[in-house]
Amino acid sequence: MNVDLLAAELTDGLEPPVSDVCMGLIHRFATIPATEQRRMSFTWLASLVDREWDDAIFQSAISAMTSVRNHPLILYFVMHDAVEDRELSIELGYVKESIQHHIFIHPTTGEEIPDFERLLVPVFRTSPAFQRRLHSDDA
Amino acid sequence: MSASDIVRSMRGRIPWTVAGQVLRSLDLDKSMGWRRTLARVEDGDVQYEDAESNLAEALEEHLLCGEKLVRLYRVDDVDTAVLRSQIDALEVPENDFSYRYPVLLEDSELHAFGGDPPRIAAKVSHPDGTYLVLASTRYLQSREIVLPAELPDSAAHELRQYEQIICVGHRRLQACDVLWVPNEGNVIEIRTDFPLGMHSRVAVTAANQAQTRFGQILDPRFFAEQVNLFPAIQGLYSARGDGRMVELGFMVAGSSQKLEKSRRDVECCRVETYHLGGIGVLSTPIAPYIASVLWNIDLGSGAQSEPEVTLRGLSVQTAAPGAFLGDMTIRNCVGIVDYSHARDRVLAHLPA
Amino acid sequence: MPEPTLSDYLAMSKLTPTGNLHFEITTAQNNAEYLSAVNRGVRMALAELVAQRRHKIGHSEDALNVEVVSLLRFSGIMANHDVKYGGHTDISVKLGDDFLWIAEAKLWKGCAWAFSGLKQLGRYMSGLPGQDRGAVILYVFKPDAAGLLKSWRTELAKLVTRYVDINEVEPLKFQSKHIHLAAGSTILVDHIAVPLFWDSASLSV
Repeated sequence: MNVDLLAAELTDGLEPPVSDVCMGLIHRFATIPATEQRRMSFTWLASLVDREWDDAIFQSAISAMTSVRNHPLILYFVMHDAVEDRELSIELGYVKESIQHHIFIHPTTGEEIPDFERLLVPVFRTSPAFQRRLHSDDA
Repeated sequence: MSASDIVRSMRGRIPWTVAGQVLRSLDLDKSMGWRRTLARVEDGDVQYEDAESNLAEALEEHLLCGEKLVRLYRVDDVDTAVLRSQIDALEVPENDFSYRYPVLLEDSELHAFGGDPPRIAAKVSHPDGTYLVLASTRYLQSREIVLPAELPDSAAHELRQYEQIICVGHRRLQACDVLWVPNEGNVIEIRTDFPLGMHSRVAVTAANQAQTRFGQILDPRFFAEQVNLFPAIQGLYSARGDGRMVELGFMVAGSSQKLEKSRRDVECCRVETYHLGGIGVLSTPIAPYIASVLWNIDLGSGAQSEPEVTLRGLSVQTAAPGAFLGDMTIRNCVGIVDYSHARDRVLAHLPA
Repeated sequence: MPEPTLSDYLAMSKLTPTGNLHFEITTAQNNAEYLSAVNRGVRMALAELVAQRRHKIGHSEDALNVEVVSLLRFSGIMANHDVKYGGHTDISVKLGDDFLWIAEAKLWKGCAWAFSGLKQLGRYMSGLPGQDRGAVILYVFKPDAAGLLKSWRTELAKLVTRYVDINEVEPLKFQSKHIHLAAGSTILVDHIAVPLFWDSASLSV
């Protein structure tokens, strides 16, 4: 897939500078193997387009990239499991329910974790549909 | 035995992700976390009361197969037959453990048994073989970090010069160590409880104690020939596609020691880009000595499991011929089906 | 640099209304959540118009619609002007796989004009799941927008026979439920009055 065409299609409906940030991200993804397009933190993504993670333009771009058709970006969370010394992936829905009920259950122990907001790190992965389009040979 | 006793026992030993699959397979709704799930059962949730016998079966399967340090022993045909008839003739004595089995005794009830040798709690026959269950008291250490600001005012004030307070706790739990003798074949197993959070040296000591105890109850000659699991590490590493490798430790010839760990939801270490890039420039093969592999198992009824085997050798073992590894851990099993799958995959990579 | 945690993300989202909207859109997982975000974004965009109403005197429908769309886009909502969905839509928002929200926006010229906007909207909406919510936005350059909206609400009940319900949500907004002619499903339309009257010489109260 011609990256320029894909970027133009996905950012149709956006205006600069938000569209510029989205295009920048899409062009960078085209240079990264699909298997590495996961566990991308806000700061890492922001560094790809020379922005700060809490910059309003960057956040607008992220919002757009998560909500457009084929969801180029999917938000999820990771946390460090001290017992196994391994990072766990936690899906967005689980976290949203936790925020709503102010209760987070450790996926392994099943016990409540206080102050979980400080333990969870929001990260992104690109969607399979987006990866297929990005790396297909169709012009 | 009540449904709440069973769920309380499950809470003490089954990882929450595994418990979720167990409850799903039994068509039982769970609440957020163990505390709330147990509370609904204690409040008399009819679903759970009606499923009491199924819950007991699920708990038992986890006692036999879940979170174990495993040792395999080769026994010749004659001795295998002798072992089977000895176990057949064995009577399970009456004691607090056997009386409550499969429900586990709680911390306060175990106080009386601390330091006692393991006791036979049950003898169970399944289509795949016979299980002899030893029960004993084990200690689990927990560490928790507390911020002074989270303490009551007076304590917070006293400890204000500290940024963090590390709290160490000890909890008693009933361990179930199992001897498995297959109905067919010559490889028997001792499976020692090894819950998350337990230090490996505690588990190894417990495994040694279980082996000694089974030897006293039956005959120590059955445990004379332990199966060497070290060759399976190379076998599992080479078998791309056989499960997903989530941890890999290896030596690079003439150079250094590497440890690669991947999250459960990403690529296998064997084919991960960084790993392939590294081994691609080497002139000699790497020598693995640690391997953790997991498999996705469909258990039916919408339940899935991801049993994980870990074989943890030492780096120095790659330098010497005849390296021996006797222990492996098998985790995240729901019961016999997924445990057997994980175990059999290891056996498939051992010399005949 | 340490990676921002969920705590940092939540704190950032609470700093500004736009931050909150970003959070809502980024974490939306279904059409209901998209709708909530769009409603919030539209409310913010219209509030901005109202705040700047002294500079909107003489603006055309199109000019105001383009401005609303720009404000939505700046928030990260994929909004568009003049996209064809059975006709040229004033404001449309397409999100996810099948969410589509359409608004017809009119300068207030009386109930008949508002009714034409509603009829156009009914033609553009498909009535499919995720595409069963829309809005009629009325830019009111006359005094007493709430009173004019109330008159429109009263008139609507007489004009439309296939409505299910008409309810005031707040003084400057009411909702009407209709049976979509083609789909047979229930569609819900927000009627929003945007008070843009400005006269520096007159008292505000």
